[in-house]
Amino acid sequence: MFTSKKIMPTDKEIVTTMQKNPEKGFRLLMSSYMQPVYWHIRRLVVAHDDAQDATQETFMRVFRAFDQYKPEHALKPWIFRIATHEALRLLGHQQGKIMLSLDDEASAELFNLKADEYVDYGDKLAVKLQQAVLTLPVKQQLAFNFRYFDELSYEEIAIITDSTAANVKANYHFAKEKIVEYMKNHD
Amino acid sequence: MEQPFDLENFNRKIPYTVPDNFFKDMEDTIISSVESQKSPIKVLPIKANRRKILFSVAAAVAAIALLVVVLQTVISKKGGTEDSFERVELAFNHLSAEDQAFLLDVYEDDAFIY
Repeated sequence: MFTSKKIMPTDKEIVTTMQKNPEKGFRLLMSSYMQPVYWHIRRLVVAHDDAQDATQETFMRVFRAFDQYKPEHALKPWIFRIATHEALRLLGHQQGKIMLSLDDEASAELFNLKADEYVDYGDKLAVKLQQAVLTLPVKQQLAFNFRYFDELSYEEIAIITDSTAANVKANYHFAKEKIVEYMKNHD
Repeated sequence: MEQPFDLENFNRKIPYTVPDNFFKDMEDTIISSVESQKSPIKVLPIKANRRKILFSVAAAVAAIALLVVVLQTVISKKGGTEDSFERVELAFNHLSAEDQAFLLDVYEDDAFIY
């Protein structure tokens, strides 16, 4: 999915440039994080238009709040935390809430998966895997998506989800079991 | 017989797609929004404020310096006038009584003598 061959700037380069020249640094930040953030949000909210809105809002917030970022902490979890917050806020609005809780079940997104025009329904196994993920509670979805697709460490996921590495690991394993079960029992 | 789904060896592909040039267009949109917000990062306004403050301080210092120079010039001019009066008075005292009487007679009604 992220097979771009161009050399990506390191987080340190991004942060240093942001401090010296915010707009240039922000371009570097987007070149590194635009696609990972979009796909992360897209896996949660499913519909392309929603993912686009939440991604735009994420980067606007990143730019506005960058003076609050502490360089001694990793940049990636900080950005993904904002992105996750935006995605859950959008899903919460769709369900008539302020924001979706990590303990909530996600059900509306299954409908989105069936309705969205930017889905390759020809790839049946990939569609089915996404449907299986979307049946999980939000915190299991996050643990699974971040670990399985984005290959983040349990520690990084724990920072993003305000949890512990042990809890994230447990959620990831629960998620895997449920997904395998779903794939076995659904056509 | 159908093979069971192998999650670990699945290619991790997701079925979602995006429109052509989507990421480039979105990047341009976000950059435009950021630019239209007139540098929302706080670092910039602080620097701008510092520049403003420095400019104001420099202008105030320049104004004070100019005032000092003008006042000094005025005072020195005033001092010069007093000095010239003293010299005139001294020269007047050195004149003979007749000459003094003549000058007083000629200029005593001159409104512009002082």
